[in-house]
Amino acid sequence: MFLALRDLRRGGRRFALIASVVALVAVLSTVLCGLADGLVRDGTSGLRALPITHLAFAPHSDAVFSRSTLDGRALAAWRARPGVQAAPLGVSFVNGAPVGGRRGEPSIDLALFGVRATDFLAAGDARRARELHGLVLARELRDDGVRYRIAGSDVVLPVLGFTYSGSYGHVPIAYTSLASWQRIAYGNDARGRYSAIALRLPRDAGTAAAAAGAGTELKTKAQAYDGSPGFTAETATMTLIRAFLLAISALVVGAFFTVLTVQRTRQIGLLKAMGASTAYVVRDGVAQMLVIVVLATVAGTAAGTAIVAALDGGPVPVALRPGGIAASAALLVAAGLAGSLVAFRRIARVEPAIALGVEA
Amino acid sequence: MTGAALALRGLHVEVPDGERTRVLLDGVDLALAPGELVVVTGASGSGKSTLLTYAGLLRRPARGEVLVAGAPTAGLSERARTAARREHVALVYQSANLLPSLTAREQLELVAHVRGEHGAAARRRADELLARAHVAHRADALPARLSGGERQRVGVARALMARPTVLLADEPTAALDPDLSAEIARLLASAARDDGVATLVVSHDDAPLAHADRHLRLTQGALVAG
Repeated sequence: MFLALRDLRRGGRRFALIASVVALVAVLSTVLCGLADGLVRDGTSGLRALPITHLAFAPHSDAVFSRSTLDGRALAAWRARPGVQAAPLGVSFVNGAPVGGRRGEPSIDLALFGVRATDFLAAGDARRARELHGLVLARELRDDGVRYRIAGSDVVLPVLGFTYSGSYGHVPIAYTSLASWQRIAYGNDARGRYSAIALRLPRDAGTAAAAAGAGTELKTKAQAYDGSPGFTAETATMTLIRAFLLAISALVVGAFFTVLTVQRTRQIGLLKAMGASTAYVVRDGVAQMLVIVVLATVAGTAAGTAIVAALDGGPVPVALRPGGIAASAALLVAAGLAGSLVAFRRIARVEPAIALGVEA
Repeated sequence: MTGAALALRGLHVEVPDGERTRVLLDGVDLALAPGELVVVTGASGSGKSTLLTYAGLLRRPARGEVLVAGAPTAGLSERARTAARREHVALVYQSANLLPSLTAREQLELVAHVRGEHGAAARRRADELLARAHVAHRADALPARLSGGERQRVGVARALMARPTVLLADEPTAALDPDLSAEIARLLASAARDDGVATLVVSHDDAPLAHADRHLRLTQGALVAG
């Protein structure tokens, strides 16, 4: 570090460009991290808020509610197992148009969750809607005294209350009773059908055997996020963009240090001529690279975090998850290190004779 | 084993020259005793710097042998050659070759750092050597702020920092005016006499000759008495 630190201190301007580029990549990476986490949160907050450990779907439905239909037999099989709490859950996407004096106002898209009032899923303000024929909406949709006609059916539901219900597939969740949901989904031919079974399972419940016995496909709460509309595509897209950023960062840092190594060939030869081992010279270079990349990444990550914090609460879905942001910064440093390995390989090939200007 | 600080035996070096090869060193034999100052002169391109390349263990000869501090070096691994350079050999360059981001004192401290010596002792020795080279007042100056003569004096002090067995100087006075050349030559002679360093200077300048124990000429790949 003897030479590396003095080089940084006295030749700071030479390193300003690369530090700026790495810092910018860190800003982008942090903001993307915040966006990715925000999208995940926005798309699955309703599921997260449910007091459950697992969801049981119809076989081969891949945690997609619209592909899954179950009936009372599956529910009875789950409820027969000791320590298991099971509740039927109906989920569908609907559009509600205001009726009565509110004609002309825009309709709203809702992820309609139908639950039974007597089940463990019902809690707080939402309980009223589950007992009655009505809707409990997300707080952000607060508008008292409105009734909505659910498109595609003749069902009109009054708004009974507001609660934090989150969203599913980026659509605000509205709770209603399971009977109302079944009437909207199946008309007068519901036959006790619903989408999935919400479960609270004890740790050693023998879940695989239980799921098979009930003729269902079991997913943990986190696994069920995959079924949220657009969830897989969104996370894959964000992951791909972040991977590209990391690759770009590795290339930029690698290219910079390669040029720097070429410029310093004679200096490296001089160090070797005075008896410095290749390991000594490489250590010096790695230390220099790490100081630049770590400082630039910290600065960029701090700026990115400030941007995400400023966006939080606005129309863009963002989330600040310290673990995710720290991992993103660590990956950026690792990418820089990986990129600079190409440059450091050149150091090993520099001959000490170059110090005397003898190249032949 | 031999009593010479540096010995070259039958050193033969050829370099590519278009379609053919050119013989730069043709079975060169040379031995330097501790404290001896030998000056080699020769025309430009005669192979003087190449001679130092092999004498300084910077390259491994295809034919011939180099012994440093009495020990043969032919069978040494690359790591062992680097260690031998660190332990026994120091170089003074035509253009001083100072590192631009280090002050005069730090140029010397770097040598100590490479040798695994740190702290106040290294700094004290650096200051002593800078004083001996008459550049103590410039200890905190960067190379860009030093004159040509000051840079070369720092270069000599840096070479002595390693406590070398062998000091090799490549045209150390070429870029200096006659007065400065004489001063650098005196400094090199003092290193040889006072510190017992075997010193080999290649030069096409006369300044170092005044202090030489021996003067040799490199001509057509052979060393002959000057």
